[in-house]
Amino acid sequence: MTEHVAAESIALEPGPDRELARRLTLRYVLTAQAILAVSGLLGILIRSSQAGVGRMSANWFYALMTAHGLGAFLGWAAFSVMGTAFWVFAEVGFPLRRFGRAMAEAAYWLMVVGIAGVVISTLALHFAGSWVFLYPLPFHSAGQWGEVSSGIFLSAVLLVGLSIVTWSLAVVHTAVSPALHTVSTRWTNRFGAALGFGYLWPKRYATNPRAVPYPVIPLTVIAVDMIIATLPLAVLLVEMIVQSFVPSWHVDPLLAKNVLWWFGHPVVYLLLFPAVAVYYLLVPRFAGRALVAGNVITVGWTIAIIANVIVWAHHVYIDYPVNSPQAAIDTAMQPLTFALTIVSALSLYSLFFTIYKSKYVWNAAGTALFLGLISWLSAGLSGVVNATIAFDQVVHNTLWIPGHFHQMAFINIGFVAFAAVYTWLPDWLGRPLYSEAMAKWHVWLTFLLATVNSVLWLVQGLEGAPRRFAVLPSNYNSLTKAAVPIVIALGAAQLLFFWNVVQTLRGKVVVPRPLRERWPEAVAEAALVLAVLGLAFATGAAGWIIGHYTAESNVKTVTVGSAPAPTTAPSGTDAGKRVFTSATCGGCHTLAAAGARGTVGPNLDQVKPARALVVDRVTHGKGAMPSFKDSLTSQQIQDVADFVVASTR
Amino acid sequence: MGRIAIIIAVAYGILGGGLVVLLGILVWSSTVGRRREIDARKLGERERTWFGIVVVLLVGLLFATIFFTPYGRSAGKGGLSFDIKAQQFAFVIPGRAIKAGVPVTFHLTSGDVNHGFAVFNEHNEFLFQAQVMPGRTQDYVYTFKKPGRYRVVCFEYCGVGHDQMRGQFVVKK
Repeated sequence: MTEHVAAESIALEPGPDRELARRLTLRYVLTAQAILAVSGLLGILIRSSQAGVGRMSANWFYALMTAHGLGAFLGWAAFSVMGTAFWVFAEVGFPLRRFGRAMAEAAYWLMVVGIAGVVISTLALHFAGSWVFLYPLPFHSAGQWGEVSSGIFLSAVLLVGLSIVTWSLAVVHTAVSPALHTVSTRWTNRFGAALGFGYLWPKRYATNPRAVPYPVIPLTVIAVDMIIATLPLAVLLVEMIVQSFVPSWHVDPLLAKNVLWWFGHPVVYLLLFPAVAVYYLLVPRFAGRALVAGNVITVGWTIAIIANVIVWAHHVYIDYPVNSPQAAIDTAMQPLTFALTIVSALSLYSLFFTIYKSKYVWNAAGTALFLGLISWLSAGLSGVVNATIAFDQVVHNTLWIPGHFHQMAFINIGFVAFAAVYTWLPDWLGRPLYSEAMAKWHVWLTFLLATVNSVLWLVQGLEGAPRRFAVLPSNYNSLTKAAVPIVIALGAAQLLFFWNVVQTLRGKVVVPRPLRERWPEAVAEAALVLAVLGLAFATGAAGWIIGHYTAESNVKTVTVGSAPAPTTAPSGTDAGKRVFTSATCGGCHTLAAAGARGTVGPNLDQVKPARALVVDRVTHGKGAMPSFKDSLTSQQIQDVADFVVASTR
Repeated sequence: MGRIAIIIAVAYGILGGGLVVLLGILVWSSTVGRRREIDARKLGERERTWFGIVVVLLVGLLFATIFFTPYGRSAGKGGLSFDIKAQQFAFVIPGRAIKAGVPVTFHLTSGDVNHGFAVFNEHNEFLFQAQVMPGRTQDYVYTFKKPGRYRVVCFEYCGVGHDQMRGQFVVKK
């Protein structure tokens, strides 16, 4: 095993290179936190709306959901760790050279303009196709948004994709550099050294005087993967942008879905692997010892760089149309996805044993990293469930999935972003953190509340509650209502973070005093936090009880699906009303007599259609309205027409 | 909750909940204890053993689960056939009933965008799901044991009326 030189001794000396990394990182990280403020707020609004608190229209819900997803996932979590990567390089002695610097600058502006485009197209122009914009949904808006909105949204996502590619180029260029000190100057040897091959083949990939710092390996791996993963998506996006003004263009939806996930899977690791680089750098520092790692960790990263770009189809396990090879592809992806979990298993081994029996520093950042590792392990295990075809059948597109990825993205990767700010903001600004105590409260409150929030989703998911539903079926009300105080308290806890950052920027500082001098305040603080937590849980419990009670009383009338079966065959408008409900006409139409509030098709209370028109439309369909002649008998169609006419006159 | 959901809940509750908390407490308490020395080199080398353990566990899980996929199922000669068309924001479902105890093949098609075909029983228990893609036919084979009214819910985000896209069919003796 090659001896690892402690990172402290090899950081860039103060000078222009370190200054460049400082400025770049600070800009990336502060912009990302501003995006967190907005996208986090959107998250609170949509979860509350689901529970009926501040209920918004379906179009607003899905538009906000689209903005929240892209904003929080890429604009905050990814952008944070992308920026931090430049500082990680500085801390292990790798300067950005001219090309890397140009790419890093370009990546910043592409991301900022891209996220701005996402905000405009969703919040101002009502694009609500979700962040996966599953082809061809952007072009079938049911009248809710126009081709222009789709075009702007898709262009914005293209800019975000280009940001990822340019960032990746900056990272590869910086990693495969003279700073590696490879003995051979051939680029293949340098590249292998940056991937950590020197730990396995010390002669061929020799570096002198020190081995490649561990944090460089995950950064190199993800940069290479993101170039491979993003370029096909860019091609699809260009096609879709053209299609938004040349409607005759189109692609195969199955191909489009595969291309989307070809990118959509590795992008998850655009968050995780740079976060691992921070773990590799900071955990040994807080533990006061080198990373506990064997040569086998290189094996893990070699598996990762390959497996990461060939596991996309685990997102489409339940797509296997006839006469397509998709079922075979899906089956092959289960073992490949399992292989990809090995790198997480090895990294967690190394990081936990680095902390084990060390003099670990339990400050806010150290605590955030430790709790991040805990969430990583827990979310990794729920990820294994998703990766298993037999289990995915049950959890796919249920709330289990947001439960899983919020644990992974928010309380694992997000916690690395918080830890980076708490550790390095003082270095970047040249002044101390405003309040270490406030940071610690923020970390603990966020961990507890976000974990509970995720657990609620996991449970709802196992009960079959679908994700991406503006209004969930009423039998899930209990837990949805219980989540509202939790997400509001979670949002409030983030104010501690923002206030800390703002005050630090303003140069303020809370001078810590010994506990015995300030114990009355400490007790008051603790009481306040306990009260907030208690209130959140009490309201949550109350919400659950009320929701549970309401759901019980409604379970026979308002359930998943629709109204109960007619036991006899009644005639006239009663039968028509049953048809109206069972054929889910209310999904698109408003009709007060049936309690229907759909907004996609014409409002029947207002247009008061003639009987013949209803019969014709229901039988033959028109535009977005499907034909029901195969699913309803002509008697049923007559009945529903009678009902609509009778109830609107 | 269905059978598989219960398996997931129990397994994940024990591993992702209980075991993770125990590990957290163990590692945390080791940093505040008295004996704070480890043999880093030995633990580094033992990572290879851990690698082996992880591979064995994953291969075990793979073989325990890979034969339970929905792929390549057939309803056989006596099976029923049921065409369902999904369209924003309704399922067009034949009015006739399905027979309990007889395997039925759902031929799923879409008239516009991607939809999901998820089926629940009268007790809101989630039974199965499959994706429905425009321009393709997706088959799903299932045998209903109990007669009753079954509910269909769209399980792939398909636009603004997605959460109201429902349907139902009847299974008779």
